[in-house]
Amino acid sequence: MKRFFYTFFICMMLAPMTTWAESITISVESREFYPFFFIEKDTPKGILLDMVRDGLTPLGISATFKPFPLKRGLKMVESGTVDAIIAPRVKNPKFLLPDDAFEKDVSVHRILQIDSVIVTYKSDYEFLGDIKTLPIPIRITLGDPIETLFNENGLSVDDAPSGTHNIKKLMRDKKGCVITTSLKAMTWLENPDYVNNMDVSTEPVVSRSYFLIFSKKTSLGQDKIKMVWNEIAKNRDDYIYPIKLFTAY
Amino acid sequence: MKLKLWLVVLVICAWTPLNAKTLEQWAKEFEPSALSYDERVKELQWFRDVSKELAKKLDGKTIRSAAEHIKTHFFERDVLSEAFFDITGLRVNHNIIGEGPVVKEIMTQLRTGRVIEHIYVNDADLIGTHLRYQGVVNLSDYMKGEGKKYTNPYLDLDDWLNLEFGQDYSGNQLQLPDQQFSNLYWFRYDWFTDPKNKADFKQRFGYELGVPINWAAYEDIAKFFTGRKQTNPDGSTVTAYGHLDYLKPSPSLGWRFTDAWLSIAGVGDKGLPNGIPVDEWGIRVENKVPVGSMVERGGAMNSPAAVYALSKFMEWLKFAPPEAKDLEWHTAGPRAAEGDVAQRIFQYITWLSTDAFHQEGSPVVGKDGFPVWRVAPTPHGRYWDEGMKVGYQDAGSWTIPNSVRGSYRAAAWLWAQFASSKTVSLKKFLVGGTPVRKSTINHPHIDKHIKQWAGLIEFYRSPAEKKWTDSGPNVPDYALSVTWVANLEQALKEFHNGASIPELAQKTMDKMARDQDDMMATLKLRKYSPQLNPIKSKDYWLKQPGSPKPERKPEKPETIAYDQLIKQWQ
Repeated sequence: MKRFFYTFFICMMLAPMTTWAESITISVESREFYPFFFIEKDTPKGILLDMVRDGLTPLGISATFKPFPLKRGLKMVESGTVDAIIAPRVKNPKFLLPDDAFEKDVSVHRILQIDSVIVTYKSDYEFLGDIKTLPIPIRITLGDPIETLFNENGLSVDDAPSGTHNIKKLMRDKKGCVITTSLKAMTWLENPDYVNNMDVSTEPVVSRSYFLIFSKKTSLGQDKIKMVWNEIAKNRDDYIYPIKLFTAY
Repeated sequence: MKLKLWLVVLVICAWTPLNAKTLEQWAKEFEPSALSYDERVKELQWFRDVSKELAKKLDGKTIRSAAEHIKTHFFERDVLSEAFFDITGLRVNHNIIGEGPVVKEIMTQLRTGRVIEHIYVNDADLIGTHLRYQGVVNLSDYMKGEGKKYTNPYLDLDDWLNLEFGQDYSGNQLQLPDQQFSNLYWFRYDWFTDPKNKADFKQRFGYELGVPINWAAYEDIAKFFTGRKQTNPDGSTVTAYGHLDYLKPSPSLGWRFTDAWLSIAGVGDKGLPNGIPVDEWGIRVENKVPVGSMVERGGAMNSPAAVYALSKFMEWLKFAPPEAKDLEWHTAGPRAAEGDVAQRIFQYITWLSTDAFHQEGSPVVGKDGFPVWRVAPTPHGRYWDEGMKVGYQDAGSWTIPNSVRGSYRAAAWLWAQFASSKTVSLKKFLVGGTPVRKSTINHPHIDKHIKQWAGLIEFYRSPAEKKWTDSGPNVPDYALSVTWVANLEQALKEFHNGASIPELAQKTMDKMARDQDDMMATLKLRKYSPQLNPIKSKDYWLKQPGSPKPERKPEKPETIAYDQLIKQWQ
């Protein structure tokens, strides 16, 4: 018996760490939201995924990312089919979010803050915060949760499968606007076909904290979840980490 | 009718902040100034008039600017932003944060386009980054074009000190200096001129105690003072330290080296403001394109001179107060004022304006109320050659990211010009001790009080000042400094565990150079993006003229009497 116990103990000691590691499944939106999340050769990638992975690894947790449309992903979190989702704040009694998620616009325990800006055809128009002044049509990418904001203000939107479709339409029609991330707008400004014909707003139309939202049904304990959020925040607020992270994209 | 009138008065009162001052009151407040009262009123009126429309457009909005936590910027936040609002109606939140967060924020903004701040006071060390990213407003173009209307006719760029720090290779102004800070040699003039100290030093080392010209003399002086009993003007007796430094793991540990420590040792090539083709970071450029940091690629980051620079940093720690291991640049800044430090090779002048260095009763202030310390030229290492930069000096500089556009850009630009205008600059210098204009340095008010700056004014008035420069345009991305921080932290851990210095220094610089090259290889920048040289033998490069330089023998220690030296600056 003793011999069995010792053998078992030695085997456990020699076993790779992964044997011990917890594993969770995380839903990530299937729309293109480069560089924050996107799919490359059927594999979900992006800055948000990297940051989550780097927050989980020191705690011995490995993650599998699965791309779904946002609404479906949220349903899966609700039912506990996946452990968590990367998304802006959503009120739902079945979700676990950091305490300050609904108290502040920029949460301490966010993964990252992402701004959506207004791209317009070159003109005297300047967006200074009032969405009712936006030139129409307002173009967004399909599935972008920002649609709610416009609907709440009685504004209708045109959606297209990607930002590329939208910017092409803007250039073709020379009217309206495109809602996109500040980073995507930057890449369009590098395009010689667009740079002299477009304006990008200084003010964002919306600035959202993206979170790692857990399902209350996850097997991960609440203390561990808080540790994950802390680890992500620690990396984000580090001097070196974000510089290296953004260099990779 | 009367009731209506009272109501109007009440409404006006409710809308006017209680402490708001008139333009004329502010003009009086900014005394002394390089401008007369009438000239100040004229300049402030221009700011008021040009902002009217903008203030209406941005009603209820705030211009966000960020700067590091030094006295100059606190003055900008507490006094100048108030004045700017009273005069222009444009509200500014001048956010004072550490230098690390400033760099992190601006780099994030450049990479993501996300507007975190509308304007930064960002060190001109980042000029190589900005000219390659093309991510900040070209102020030269802006002043001529879109921003012409918002450009102060009294700006007088010729009045600026070291405007070139914020310029790209073609002389375009990408950053406008807001405050200059040099890094000078600091020492206790009273102890250095004490007859007993002088006699004992001469007897022990065979030459005069004075301002060290090279590192060999600095080391002898450090040896001499460490553990020696000294007295201060306040009557206190201390056991002195011959050196002061800081090594707490933090971004500032990286700057301790990137702020030209290698070039002070003599790592780079000749050339002002920066060594060409090899600069103060040990990076070689060819036609403005960085080609390597490793000696094996023609760089000098792991050259004998660089290894010597790191070795001396570690060797001299035995002469420094033990708490050096817990100090960062800002906590080490005022440390010498405690009265037990004889000299410091690496003193940012930023901290010399703190009360500790000037107030009555301080151990470093004489009975006459003047400092008993002085600043002098930075001693150089054994690899230094005539024609190279002598020391480090940088300028916190107004920088507007391209992502800030339209009205916000105009308002940010107005704020930058206001905070460094002739009206306010002298007053700002008197508070923070970091000048930005020649009219400040040469003002009669400064003449009258020159003794209180203990050599700093002579430095800024001297042509020698041009030999103190910042990180040059060779550095393709300031983010490379993360490799310095990480490797230095590791080296210091091993040092504290007893590792042998020369081997540790060589190993560290080898790794740092390799890491920096690896990171450079991944950069894809819009202009002059790095293209690394193929690897050749170290021997090949060390035999070429200039940097990287082969091993040199220890130099002969040299000193100079301070009073003789200061005449050279005058």
